[in-house]
Amino acid sequence: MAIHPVFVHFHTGILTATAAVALVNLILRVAFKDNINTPGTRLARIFHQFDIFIYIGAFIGFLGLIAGAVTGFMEPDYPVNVLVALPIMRFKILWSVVCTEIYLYLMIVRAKVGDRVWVKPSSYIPYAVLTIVGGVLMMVMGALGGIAVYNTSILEPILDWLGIPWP
Amino acid sequence: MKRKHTMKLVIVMSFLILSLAAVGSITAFESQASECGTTDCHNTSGVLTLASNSTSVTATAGTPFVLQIDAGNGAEWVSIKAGWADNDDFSRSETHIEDESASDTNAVSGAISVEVTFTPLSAGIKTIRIWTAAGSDLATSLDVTVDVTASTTTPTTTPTTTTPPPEPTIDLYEVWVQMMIWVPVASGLILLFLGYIAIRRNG
Repeated sequence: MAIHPVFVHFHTGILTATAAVALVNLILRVAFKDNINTPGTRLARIFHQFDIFIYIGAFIGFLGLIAGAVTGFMEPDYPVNVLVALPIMRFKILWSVVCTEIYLYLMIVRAKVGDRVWVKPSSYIPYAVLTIVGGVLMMVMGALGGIAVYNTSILEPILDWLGIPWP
Repeated sequence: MKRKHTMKLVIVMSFLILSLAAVGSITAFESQASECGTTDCHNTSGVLTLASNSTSVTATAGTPFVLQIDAGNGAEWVSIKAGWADNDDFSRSETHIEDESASDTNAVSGAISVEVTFTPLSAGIKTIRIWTAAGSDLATSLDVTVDVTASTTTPTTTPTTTTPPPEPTIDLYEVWVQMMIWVPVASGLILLFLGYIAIRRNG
């Protein structure tokens, strides 16, 4: 089975953490609107650091997905026509493209708007939700990669516990 | 430059270097892309087992014969690839067989047993090259020599009388091809709209 180098798997963990941070930031933004807008408070500092974390995560997601896509298609024993015959690989290819778009969106919006992205619901809700969706998709795709290559994944016990069917 | 900005720059550059190192750590050997059984085959560890009920067959052009192929020790795929050895000189009832697919008669995971019907298309001494692979970059191949004699009758153009079962893994392929076009386009348009709204209202 086609295998990426170990390095290109690191971003999956980072992006899953980024999704968790985005969820925390979204909750903070909704629940403590006044506190996070007060400069100098501990909550405002934490919120700001989380915002930077998500911003860097978007860059890592974009670059990591490009690296993963390039290396995933370089395995000589598994040309594209063999990979696309596998349902798991088809899923990974399709949603990797969508994830790349999501992280490109996050990069551009955050670069253009700055931390004002957290001011209005029209920007912070899509920004946070897309970060969470991207992280969850990356987590699922990473788990499917483990299933495809090693017939198992570290996510299996969690999904079994949740009762979610697994290929 | 303020110290705070310098720290941010250092952090961002560190992650960029990590990502570049990821691309640089590619372990594939692009020069070793030849088929197995020849020089410059991709470097693989031969721990998989691959056997056939016969490695030397006498056949007649246009007359089908069956090979029982058994792969094990973790095999996930058996394939008779087009373009390898003389594979193109035979029509084949199966080309790609996945472990635990409908064509796999061995229920054990990591082992594949399949009967493939070959029909020689021309006379001569031919080689069928069968390939098997698994996870962790494992692959190996097996050659079967076939001495094909010319047919005394006109070979039929459709030698197999039964329709081979459809490949179970490609049943949704066409749907996937359509999704590969429309899902990224739709998500791209949605993201463009959301981005436009975010930048316009906050810019």
